[in-house]
Amino acid sequence: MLMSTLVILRFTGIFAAYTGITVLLPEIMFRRILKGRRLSEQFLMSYTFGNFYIINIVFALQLLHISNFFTLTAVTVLMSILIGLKVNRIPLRRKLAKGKKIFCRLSDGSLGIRSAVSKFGEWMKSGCRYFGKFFCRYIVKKPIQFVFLIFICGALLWIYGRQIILTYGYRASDIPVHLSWINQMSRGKIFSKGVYPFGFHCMIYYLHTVFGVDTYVILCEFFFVQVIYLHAVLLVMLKLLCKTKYLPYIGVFAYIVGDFWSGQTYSRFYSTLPQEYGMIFVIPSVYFLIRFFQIHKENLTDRETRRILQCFAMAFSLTLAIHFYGTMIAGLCCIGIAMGFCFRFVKKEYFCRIMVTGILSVVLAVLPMAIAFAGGTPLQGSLGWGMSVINGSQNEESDADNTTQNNKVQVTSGNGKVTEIDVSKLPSAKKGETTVVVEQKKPSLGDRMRTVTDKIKVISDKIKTIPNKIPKAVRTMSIRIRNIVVPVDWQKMGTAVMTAYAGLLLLGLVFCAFQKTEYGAVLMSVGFCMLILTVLLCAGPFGLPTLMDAARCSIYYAYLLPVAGVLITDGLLYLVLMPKVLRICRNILSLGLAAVLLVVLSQNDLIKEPGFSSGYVTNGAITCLTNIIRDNEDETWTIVSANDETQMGLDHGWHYETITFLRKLEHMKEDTKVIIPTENVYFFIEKIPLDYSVSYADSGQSISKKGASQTLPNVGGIGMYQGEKRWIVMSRMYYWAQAFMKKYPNEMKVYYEDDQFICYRIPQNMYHQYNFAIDYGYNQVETEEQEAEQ
Amino acid sequence: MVSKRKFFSIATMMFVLFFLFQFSMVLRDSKNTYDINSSLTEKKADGRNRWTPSDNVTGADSSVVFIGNENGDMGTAISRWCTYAKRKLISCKSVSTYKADDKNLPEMMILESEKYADGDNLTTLETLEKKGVIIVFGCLENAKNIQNNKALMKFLGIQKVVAEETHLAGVKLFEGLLLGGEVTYNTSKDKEEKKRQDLELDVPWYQVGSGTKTYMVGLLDEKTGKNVENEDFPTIIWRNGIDYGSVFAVVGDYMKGSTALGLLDGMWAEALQYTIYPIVNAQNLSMVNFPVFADENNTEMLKLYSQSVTGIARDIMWPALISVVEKSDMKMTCFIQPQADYTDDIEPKSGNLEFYLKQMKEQSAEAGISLEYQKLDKAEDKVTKDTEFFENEKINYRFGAAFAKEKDLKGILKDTDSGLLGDVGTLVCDYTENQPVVSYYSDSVTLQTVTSDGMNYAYSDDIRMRSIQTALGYTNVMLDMYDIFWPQEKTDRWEVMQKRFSSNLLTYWKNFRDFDSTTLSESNARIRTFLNLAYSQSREDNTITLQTSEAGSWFILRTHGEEIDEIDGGSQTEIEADAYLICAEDTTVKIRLKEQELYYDTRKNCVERGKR
Repeated sequence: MLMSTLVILRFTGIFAAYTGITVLLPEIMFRRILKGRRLSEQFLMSYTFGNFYIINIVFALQLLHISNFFTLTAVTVLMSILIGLKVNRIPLRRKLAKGKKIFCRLSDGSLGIRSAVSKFGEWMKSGCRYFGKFFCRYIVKKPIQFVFLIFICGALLWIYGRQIILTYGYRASDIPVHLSWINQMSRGKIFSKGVYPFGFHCMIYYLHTVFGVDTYVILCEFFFVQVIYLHAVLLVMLKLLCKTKYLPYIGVFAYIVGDFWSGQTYSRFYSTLPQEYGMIFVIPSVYFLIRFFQIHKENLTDRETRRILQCFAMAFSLTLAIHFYGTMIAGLCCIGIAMGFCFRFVKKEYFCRIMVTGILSVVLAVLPMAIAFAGGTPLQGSLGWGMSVINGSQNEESDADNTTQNNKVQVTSGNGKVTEIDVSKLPSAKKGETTVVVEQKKPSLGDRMRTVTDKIKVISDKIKTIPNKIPKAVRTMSIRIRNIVVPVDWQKMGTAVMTAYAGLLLLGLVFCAFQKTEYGAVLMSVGFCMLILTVLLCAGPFGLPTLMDAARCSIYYAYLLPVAGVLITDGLLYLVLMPKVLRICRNILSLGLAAVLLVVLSQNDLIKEPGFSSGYVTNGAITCLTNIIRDNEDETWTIVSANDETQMGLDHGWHYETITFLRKLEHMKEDTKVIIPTENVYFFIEKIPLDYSVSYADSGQSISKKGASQTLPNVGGIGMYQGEKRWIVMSRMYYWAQAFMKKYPNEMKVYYEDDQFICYRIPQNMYHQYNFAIDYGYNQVETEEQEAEQ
Repeated sequence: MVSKRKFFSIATMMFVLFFLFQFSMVLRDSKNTYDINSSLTEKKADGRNRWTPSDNVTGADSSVVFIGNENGDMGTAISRWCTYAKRKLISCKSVSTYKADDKNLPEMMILESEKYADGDNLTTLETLEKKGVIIVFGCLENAKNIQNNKALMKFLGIQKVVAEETHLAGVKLFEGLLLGGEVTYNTSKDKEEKKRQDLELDVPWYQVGSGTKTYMVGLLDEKTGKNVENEDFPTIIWRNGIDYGSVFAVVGDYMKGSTALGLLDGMWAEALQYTIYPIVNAQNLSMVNFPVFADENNTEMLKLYSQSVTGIARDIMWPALISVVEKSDMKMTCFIQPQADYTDDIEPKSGNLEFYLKQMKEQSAEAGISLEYQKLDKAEDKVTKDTEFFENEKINYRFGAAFAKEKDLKGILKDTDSGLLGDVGTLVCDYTENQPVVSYYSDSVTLQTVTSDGMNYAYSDDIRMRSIQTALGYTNVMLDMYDIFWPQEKTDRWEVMQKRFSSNLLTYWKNFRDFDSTTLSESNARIRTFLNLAYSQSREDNTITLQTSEAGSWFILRTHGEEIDEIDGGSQTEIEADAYLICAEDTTVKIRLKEQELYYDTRKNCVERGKR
């Protein structure tokens, strides 16, 4: 079987499993509630609940240390049945009685097999009829939208989907870390390296445990599932907010294929990472909040309001449970929406509800982490950093790094003379030893008053200068948008984007004036959201705390930019063709615009062509690992490789670090032994070593004797497997393999070889294993005499 | 009351049942051509065509050099192996006397002992090894000399001589070298098992270093071996790999008898990418001195079994033998002994012979004739009296095989031209190292020695059996019934012997069931083919071409992880991992080996896989 076929089958399985549990299962569970809603809203609600449901099941079972295939499946199934029965108001007793009756009739023969089969046939027929109706309603009756949908799917497959077939490995250096954490969950240790938002890990763990797909496989292929849902939620939100039919499709299409986006805005989409997974739930958070504010005051007490708020709480808590960055963006967007809907937000009925929901969503997300923290698990490093950002200490540190004014302290000498010294210039300060013992004079009340007055004066001066600074700030924003997000040749791109935001605000006001308050508020909300995000993007140049570096911020920014673009176009069309009777014209015009945009994109070479490669794992390595897992019984093999297979094959076999192997051979004595006690040992060697994210002058060179004759890298961590060091390690390993093959030509065989990668296999006699310590020409072998001399 | 009609129905039904049961039996009996020996092939004087090195079919350079005493035990064993492996043997007194010719290098050089590898000789050996000659040290005799010669130690792959002599608790033979898989010969606490331990247990303790592959290790007793890692156990047979070449070393006397046959083939297979060599492919079971027809020693038999000798043979022993044979999937050859004592007046009973021949026919067994006796007035009387007995029985069965003690073989040969022994094409004698395992005794008669005694089976017998199976695919297990009818010891009782025999046969031979079970006449035909054949083989990419002078000959193909994909001109059976039994149905056989492919693969235009 071709590896690409296997990859496609695996991906299909993962996608089906994920869709089944996050979309279809909630759809069935909540079919009474979802009935009558637009398909897009149904999808958003189901998807949000589905993810929330699964992640929290995993959290609960992991914290109870009873998480495994059986408990996860049992809880999922039982809870789904209970919730389904409750929500759909299905009387359990009556259902059970009915089931019992059918069973009794079957057992006593009063219900024949033929009748049972015919009943089952009827049930199947009604199912088919339902799907037929669905097909007719959403596909046959909406052919243009269906064609657009196909275009979007095709674009996704072309831009992102091809990656899984062309590059089997993962594409981000931190995936092994996440893999390790998920593997630890399989061993009953959630938060193994400290408390961290584990929502993403919970979902991957669930897919691995319940559906039996290897974690490394999911981490290599799940990114495309993420990408599909990332774009799906964007599309459905646009469909729900727009007044025209086709603009949302073209907006999403342009976002997928547009070559005008900066590379870093989508490069991470090729990796299965928590940030990108958490990003999916920003849109549902935004939508449900808008949806809440669209509810009239008199309807606030309805169940519908509660459901919308519940959905908002779930979506927002998911962003927090998965990744903090998503929460930051969702939070800032919430502020923007509150500004857009300020006329409702300030009202007590709305304000109280939204604040309580917000707090509840935070509690929901933080609770599992808090429980673990209370149980003695420390915070994971990056979470500590996040906390410091929230506390502001990190900014203080960064401020301290940028300026020296805080380093000056006043020192009172013995004669009472006060002098100012810069402590940063002291030797101890340079070493990071911060204990400069100086006695600072305590300020008197008068001094304090003077300081406060000075500060007020400074602030009032700054406020006075704001009107003068606005044009400069807008210019900075425009430049930054063009440089970081949409780096096109057109100089005024940034200005155009900023103008669009202003247009959104203005258009929103216009719609409010036309009594289309809710739609107007949506436009203003989007405008405010984008302006706030622009400020976040420009935090550095504005001297504001850098909550998120510009590169990461640009990912979210680019993702939300199509929303602004689509909505302003939609708003303009709606403004021109507002009456209901002109709806068809509006749609035709939107279709025309879509067509024009398509032509523009294709004619001007604006369709992106992403590169396909993984700088971390070769296709050969993944192919070998897949075959090794298939060919051997678990725990009967070891892979000697440069570190990544440690976690990849953890559930199946053993791993030995290449560097450990080589170091043991480096100063070999006659009695040195390197024994690997498994039936089969595989050696992974890259003939053209990967850079592993650190390039050097001769990057891409082949292993050689020159490389093998270099000193073995003596650095810790991943360092010895990066850049030139990896070349040395691989060269050494290759020549070891050649030397070993000379000794065991019939035992050590090439298991796999391509232009870039080679894998050797050596089967072993388990009673009498090989000593892999040999003189391979590049290590030092000390004889007994030399040892004695020393 | 039963009505007439019902009575008639019942009677009809009973008659039908009776007919159905009896009909098949009568038919079977009438069709049993028991007096025809279907295993027999016409006797031919084809010994003249036996393979000799001058046949030169395997190529000019297919030679083996033996350094040492060519008339010694090892020299004899190697000479026999060369005949079987169709290789020319060159014997030399020392390494220096061998004139190496770069154009015609030997494939293997076997040194009787490490003493032939001193000084410059070692340099010569190193040179030969680098040129691709497989070096075998047949017996490492003196540990002290080896310890003092660092260069030799390095050449042999010995890291350390731990002790000049150590006592072993047993030995362990790993799979790969000999066919039959891994086996441990550890001295058991069980009394019966303890008797099996007859291996050489006081050996030097060599600890081998990296680059070596071990095939047999000594096992230490629990106390000594407590802190010793498996890899440091005394090594008995190993290979040292140097620059794609091989140096084999053996500790002990394993190369000084028939055991050497399989070890050498195993070494050959281990050193090369693949090997293909001819074998006999015959598994024989010889029931010597059974059945008997004279009620001799009846008093003793009545005392022990409450039955006459013929009664014991027919009612007790025969059913038990059939049971064992059926379980082991082997074919019997029963060497009839009409009577043991020709001086007493007890003559063989008539009537039983037909029964046994019919039974043998049904079991696909063969009847041979035992030339053993207890007492005889004149040597010629035996054949005369036996001829009389068979004539009286009016049975024209042609005996193809005869059993005799090794010492009596020469005297018997003249009787094989005519008369009762006129059709005998093969002679069977008890186990001896004086005779080859299979050979031509004369141009028209072959000799098959017994390879194992089914009753008394020791560990060394098992290693020898495995070795002979590896080299020849041949076994001849003997069960001599003489002691049952003429018991000397308490253990000479049928129930004891049957238990031992069946347990030995069903345990130690179970891994060789892929070889064909034959009677001795069938085996005789295969031996003739084997001894006469000349063959050559070549490999191009993944296709091995085998050419043999004899269609219907058998071969073993041994590989290293490669599997047979397709075979033309023959058939194949996988005996065990990396070992295939090949039947050359034609004189040219093409064996295609599977390309090494992964189940999941990415490569379409990958680098040339074959040239790795």
